[in-house]
Amino acid sequence: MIELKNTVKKFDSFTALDGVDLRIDKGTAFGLLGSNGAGKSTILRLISGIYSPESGQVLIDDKTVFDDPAVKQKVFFINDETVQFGTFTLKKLKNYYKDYYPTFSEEIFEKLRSKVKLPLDKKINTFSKGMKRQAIVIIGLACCTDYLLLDEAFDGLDPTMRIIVKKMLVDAMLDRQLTTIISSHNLKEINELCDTAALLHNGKIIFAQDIDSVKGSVHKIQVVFNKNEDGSVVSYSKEDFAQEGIEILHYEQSQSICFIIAKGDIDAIKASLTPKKPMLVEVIPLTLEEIFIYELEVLGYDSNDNIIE
Amino acid sequence: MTATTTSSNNKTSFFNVRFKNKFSEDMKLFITNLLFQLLCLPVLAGVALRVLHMEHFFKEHNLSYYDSSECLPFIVIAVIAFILSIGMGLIIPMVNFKYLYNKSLVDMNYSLPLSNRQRFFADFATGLITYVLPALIGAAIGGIELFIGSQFVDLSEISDEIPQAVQAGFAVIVGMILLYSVCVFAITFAGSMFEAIFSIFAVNIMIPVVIGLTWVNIVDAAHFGLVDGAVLESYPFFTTSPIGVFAFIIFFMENGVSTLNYYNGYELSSSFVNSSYFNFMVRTIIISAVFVIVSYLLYKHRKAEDVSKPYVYNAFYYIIMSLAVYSIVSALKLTDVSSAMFAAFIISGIIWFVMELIRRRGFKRFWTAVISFGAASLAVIGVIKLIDVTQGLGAAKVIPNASAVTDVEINTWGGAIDCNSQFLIRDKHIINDVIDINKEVVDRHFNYSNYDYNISDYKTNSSMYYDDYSEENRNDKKVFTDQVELRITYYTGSGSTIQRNYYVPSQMLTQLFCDVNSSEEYAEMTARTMKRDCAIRKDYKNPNEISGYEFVICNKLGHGENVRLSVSEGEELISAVRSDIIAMSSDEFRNAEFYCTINGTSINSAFTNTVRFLDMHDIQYNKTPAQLVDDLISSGNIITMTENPEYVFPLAFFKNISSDSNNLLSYNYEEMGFTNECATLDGILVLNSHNNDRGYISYSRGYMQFDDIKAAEKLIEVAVPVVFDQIPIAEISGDGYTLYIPDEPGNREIIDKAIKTISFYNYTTNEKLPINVTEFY
Repeated sequence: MIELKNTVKKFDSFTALDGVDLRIDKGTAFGLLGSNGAGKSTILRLISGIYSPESGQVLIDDKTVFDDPAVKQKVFFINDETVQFGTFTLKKLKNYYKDYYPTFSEEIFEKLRSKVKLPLDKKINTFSKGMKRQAIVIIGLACCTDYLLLDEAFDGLDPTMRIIVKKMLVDAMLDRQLTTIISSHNLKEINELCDTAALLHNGKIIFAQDIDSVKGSVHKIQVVFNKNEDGSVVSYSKEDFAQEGIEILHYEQSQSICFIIAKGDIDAIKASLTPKKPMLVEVIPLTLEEIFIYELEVLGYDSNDNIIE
Repeated sequence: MTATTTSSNNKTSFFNVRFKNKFSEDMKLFITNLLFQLLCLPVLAGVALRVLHMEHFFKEHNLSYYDSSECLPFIVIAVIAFILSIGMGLIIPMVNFKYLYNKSLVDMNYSLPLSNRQRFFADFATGLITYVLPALIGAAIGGIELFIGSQFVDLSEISDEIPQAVQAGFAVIVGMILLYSVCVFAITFAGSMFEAIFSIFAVNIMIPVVIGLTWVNIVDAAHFGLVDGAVLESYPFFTTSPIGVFAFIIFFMENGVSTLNYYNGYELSSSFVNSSYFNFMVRTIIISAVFVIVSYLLYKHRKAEDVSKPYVYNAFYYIIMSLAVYSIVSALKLTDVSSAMFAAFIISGIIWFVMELIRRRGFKRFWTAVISFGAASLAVIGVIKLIDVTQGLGAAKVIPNASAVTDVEINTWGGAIDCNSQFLIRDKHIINDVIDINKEVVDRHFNYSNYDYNISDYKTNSSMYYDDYSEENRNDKKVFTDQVELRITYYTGSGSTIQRNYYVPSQMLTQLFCDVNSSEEYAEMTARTMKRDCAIRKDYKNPNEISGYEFVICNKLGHGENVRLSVSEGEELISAVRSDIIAMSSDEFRNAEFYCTINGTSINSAFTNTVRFLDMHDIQYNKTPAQLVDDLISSGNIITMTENPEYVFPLAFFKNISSDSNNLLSYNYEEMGFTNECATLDGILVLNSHNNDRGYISYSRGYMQFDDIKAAEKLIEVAVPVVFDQIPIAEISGDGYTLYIPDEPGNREIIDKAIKTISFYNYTTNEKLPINVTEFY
């Protein structure tokens, strides 16, 4: 189990993580979501022992990870670059990591390599970007650590290869209870791979829970209201729907049709609409991407504000 | 599948894993370095064997001298390879720690299951081995070559030097370790490749420069007794930087600490030589260890996220730059030009701001650069002022304890005393003499109100101009007329040297010189040098086989005669001289009558065994005045006689000037050429005036001579080569010697009479000229 307890990480005067509490259970496929600079990579580097927190704790199986080789041996971190492996051949890279990770499995390595057909004796800097990614993911999986951290792991992979790599990860999670933490901007992949996710913004956790319950707690409701007797359209604002237990993330009205993104119990939300005598109430399924956008919109991270006009 | 190995097991194994991986990464560097080293010592060993073999071959076959220049290309290759190999000390740490400057590499390396300590020491150790091991392999191969070669070539000529060469070799290894450690230190506080390279060069150069300039500032501020060059032979210089280690190796190899060892037959105490080397090694290793520990602490506390910063620890950057300002200001301060300090700060400022521009990658918050330069300048001024105010941090008052001194070296220049002007001695009694003199000199300088005269700033005195002479000494004829430059070098048991340089009245050294000249060590040294210098060798091939001895016996005018003796007679004479010196007391040396010198050693009436030997072998050692004047005239060279400066009276006597000197003295203006027929006064006559200023008199019409030769004989008779505790009333200088007329009853009259008999004659007509000596000035 990985735990971040009130973790603060600063880069000079910039606070990258501000009192983050996070718990990732063993065997979880955990997705880290967040805006750019939210602190996703920082969390991964803290968990892999590259960074040490200014305050708070970063624990793996109840032990502080920073500067403890025995704990670090349980973690394999794949960052978002591959330039560091350029001078290695795949064989040399394998041997390099094999020495550090006694749990390294030649069998898994060969099995995975044969799937992606990577050459053993060519220097990695001659590989394409996608091949480099495949190479390090194979190594990471072959190390058989308890925890695998992937920072933008699917960058540069073609669609077919994405499926292959995802399958590798899923197999490892199923076979040996691998805990995977994936940071990605590709919410579709997180949605497909992860069972739990955390959303970060400005160094803080907005939510951290399993994806199904995230999806279950945020709802998109299409409501059609009757017109007034004089034929005019009834006009509502966001505040007209707010009540205890219901958080309106987004409200949009076009003529008599409204779209409400609300957080809370769906029955309570529906009940709150009843006094306004809607002609139609329909709950439309939300994607993770929509949840991401609406959650951050509430926090002022609005795509409309960022468009240069 | 969690790893189940224990933490303690992991610590060891992870270090080993890192070490193995890193060494594998360094293999190309290792092989390159090994190639350089194989081109170095093994090649030199081969050259040595070749040269020795060829020399023996030439000797055996009575061929002319073997020209070893054919080996020069190999020596050049070896030297270049050695320089390149040493230079690897800059490259290997850069390569080994380059991951600190690249974010991806930091991620890769820091995420591995290693602690900071394991990672640092594994990386440090592999780099060090990559750097040093090839040197050891090269040395071992060189040694094996010499060993195998010794089965075929006689190595006895170099066998004495092999232990010293081995010691120097270990000093080189220690120097390599220091260079490597200093580079790692610079790498750990820098944050980018450019700054790391800059810091490596800056630290390596700045340490010796700052030590040197600080000492020069101290010497300058003390104004008394300290020697500029002493810092170049001190531990702080030798042990703190690779440049210092290089200087030590040269110092160690060149002369085994003192040039007197070889040239003058003196020997330094082995305890000093050994402790000098031992202390150097220990101190350098400690300094290297300090650099390693500091580097580790910096590395440990260095944050992975600092990878993009120019400097992870800005303090070190500011220290380097402040030391650069200090060096520039100190160097220009030495010029004694009033505007130099202003120029120094302008130059420093330009360098400072350029470096800040580079460090900041632009003008961001550049006003802080102005503030930091101001602060650095103030700190530099503060340090220099502190050194000035404390008169060189009180260094001029430091005198070592006699118990700490194993040997003392004395060098004197100038002055009236004609004693050995340099010696190296370990006699505790004489060391105490020297320390007492040193204490008195220091006390006279700092507490001058307690004394009748002061001994002041030697730098001012050294100009030898009366105008520069300090006011309180102007009336002190003892200091002024008989000033000796005295350099004392103390060699201590801890292996360090302490040098002092003073200008003192020669009378302060009288007792010391009497003690030295009657000491057993001086006797041994004299015997050694006589044996070495007077032996007649059968041929150069067999330096140990001698056929006899040849001594040079000089009268008090310095005119020498060669005396050849058989081997047994020569050794008997040397033994007599040696035993006479040992038997002679200090007072006897002072009061005895001077007879002659034998190869530079003064023989006087206290040398009973020597005199007996000379009498027995009918060797003349004490010439009569008539013989001396005859010698004077027949040897025919310039003699100047100068009365005590108080009298301001030069006296000259020329006869048959040699052609070597005629460009100075015997140019005949009428004949437009040099003459060898008679001495003339038309050349240049050195005049010692009362203010020690040198003036010249030209006289083109004639030559001079003593009309009454008896007066000249009497003058020579009373002249002595050494005076003690008194100021001579006149001196007669000849070709490399000086005689003094002591201030004794009747001597003034003898001088006056001699002067009155001097007449001047026309070159061509030999007619007496109507002038007298008083017209000289």
